[in-house]
Amino acid sequence: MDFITRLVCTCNLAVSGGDMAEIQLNQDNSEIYLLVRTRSVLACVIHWVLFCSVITLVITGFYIANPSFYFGRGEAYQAFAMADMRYYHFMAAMFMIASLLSRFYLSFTASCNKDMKQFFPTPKNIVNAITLAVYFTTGHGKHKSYRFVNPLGGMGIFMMSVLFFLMVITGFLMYLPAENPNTFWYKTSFSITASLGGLQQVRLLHHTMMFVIIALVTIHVYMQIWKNTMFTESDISSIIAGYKLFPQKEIGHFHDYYGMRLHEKPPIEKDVEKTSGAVNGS
Amino acid sequence: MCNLRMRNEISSKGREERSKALAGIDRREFLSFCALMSVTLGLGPSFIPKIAEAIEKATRRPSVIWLHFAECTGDSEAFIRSTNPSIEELILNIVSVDYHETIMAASGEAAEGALQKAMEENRGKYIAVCEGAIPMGKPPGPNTKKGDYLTIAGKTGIELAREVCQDAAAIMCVGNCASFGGVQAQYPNPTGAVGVEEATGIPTLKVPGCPHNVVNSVAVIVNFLLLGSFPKTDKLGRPLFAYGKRIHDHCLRRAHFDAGQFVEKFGDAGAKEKWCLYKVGCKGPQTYHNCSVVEYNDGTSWPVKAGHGCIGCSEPQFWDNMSPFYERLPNIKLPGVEASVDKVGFTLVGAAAAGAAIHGAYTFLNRKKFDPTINDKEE
Repeated sequence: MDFITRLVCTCNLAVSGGDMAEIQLNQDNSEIYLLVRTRSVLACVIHWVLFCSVITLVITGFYIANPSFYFGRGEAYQAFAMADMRYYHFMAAMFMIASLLSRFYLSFTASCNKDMKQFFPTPKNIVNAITLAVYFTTGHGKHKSYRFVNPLGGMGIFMMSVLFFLMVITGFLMYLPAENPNTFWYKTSFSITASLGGLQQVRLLHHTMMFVIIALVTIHVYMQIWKNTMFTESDISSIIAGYKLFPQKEIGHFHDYYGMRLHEKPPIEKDVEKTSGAVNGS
Repeated sequence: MCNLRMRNEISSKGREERSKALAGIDRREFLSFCALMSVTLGLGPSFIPKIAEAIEKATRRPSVIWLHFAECTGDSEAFIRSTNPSIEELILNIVSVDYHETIMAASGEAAEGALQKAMEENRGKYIAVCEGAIPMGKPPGPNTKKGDYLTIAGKTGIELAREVCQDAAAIMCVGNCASFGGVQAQYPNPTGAVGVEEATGIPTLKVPGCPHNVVNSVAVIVNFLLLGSFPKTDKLGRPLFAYGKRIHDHCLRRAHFDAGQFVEKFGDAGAKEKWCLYKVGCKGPQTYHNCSVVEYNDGTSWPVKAGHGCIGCSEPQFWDNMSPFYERLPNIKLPGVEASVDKVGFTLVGAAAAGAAIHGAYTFLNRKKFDPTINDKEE
């Protein structure tokens, strides 16, 4: 089943607001697929806000570090190239902070299936992540389907979250020295900066961590495309519309053990024969 | 800023009005000095008469004991070589420099006697000014002890510093060496040099810089005369009136920074236009100092005005932290390799992309190993 079909199905379901739908793609194939909700529309929107802000931050950040691809023309009062770039950088940082905070909050609500535990490196998560990583690289072991975030992805997201948090902290450490020296924020940021070895070290940290984030994002995007190609569950659709696609017989075997479980038992087998057609909003 | 070199014909008329304590200085210069101090201390114009009064009525001239440790005497040079002689006189009139190894006439036992006398007469009241780092290491060889790299009159630097600093009313470290260790405290630091505060364990006020700006050290003394105490400092012990803002915040080339107009290399068209030195390694955005406001040598010039980027000489460990001086960011030191952060970063991203490509190719060739659906045979 191709990517576009999956995406159209998930988007259709997202518009109709259903929680789950059955689809049968061609008459020859008796396999019934189920679209299962994995996260709310709000969580999807937050992901793409974060995506846009990180892209903006990286581009403007590269300019601020090495202003070479955009020049101030004319007299100084006519040009505002660096100030504009810094303004976009700060605005994107605000969007990033807002999206991180709201996603953190949503992790405690049903909107994201109370999924906070999936992102913490507990021994159980680490073992599952390693098992999955071995399977993804060598093909040894059993393919486990996860309805929500898989443990490997969860560990990656945990690393990214830590890095984003450190980026926000180091960013503010470079932003706050322009404040009044008598304010709380100036004093706090100065103490932290001094313990890190001065603003130059903070700048180096901020710049280095950006490369680590770019490397992690590269792996993240690659893994999503790879999984979307190799397996039927459609991860890319799940972040665009909030639904994943599973063969119906898999539904009973989800290996997610956290959060809300829509189907404690597998769906009734007899309904499978009756269902046909493209998409039925439940 | 008020320029101390401003002289006016009219000022000669007010010469009768000068006070006895300030003999040889005309009133206009004295008031412009008070205005400079007031502005440097961040007090505003309303404090000019109060500063003038505090200096004129200073009956008790605070005794200053000036100690030299491991350094180049650059801070003493900065202190005594102001371009305007009246300021020097003023400084020497408002304070009594009882012991200063470079400028005092006495030598040998007479000099040591002067130190002991000044300490005993003003115990608990004198200002100790320290210049230079204190070597704490033990030289190799027999019969050496800790701190022997620096010995003055049979005493090691650390003994002398402890002796003088423990009875001082206040301690002022001038220059980066006394404040944070300076160049001799940088890697590999063979003499184990550290700043005075770290060596003695006594909190000090620091006026770092290489050399420090005389306006700042004099302003600290004026603050002492005015209020009887040293000014408010930041966490590192630097007075906030001078080190509360970064050079970048008040830089005269800041407009070109915001405009995105940068010197690409020294001597290019941008340099001739006096554009921002950010890309040739100026450390102004990372350096807390007021050079961009008061400038050096009575407002003559300072590095960025002269066309060279800031090297961050008022920051702790600046030789190590701020180098390379002509690059934006320090290099990353990995075991056996030292490379620029961009090189390391792009290598990392390239490795991630290469890993993904290899993984993709491998799994594509072995795609039969991967079960597209769940293996539920065990269920």
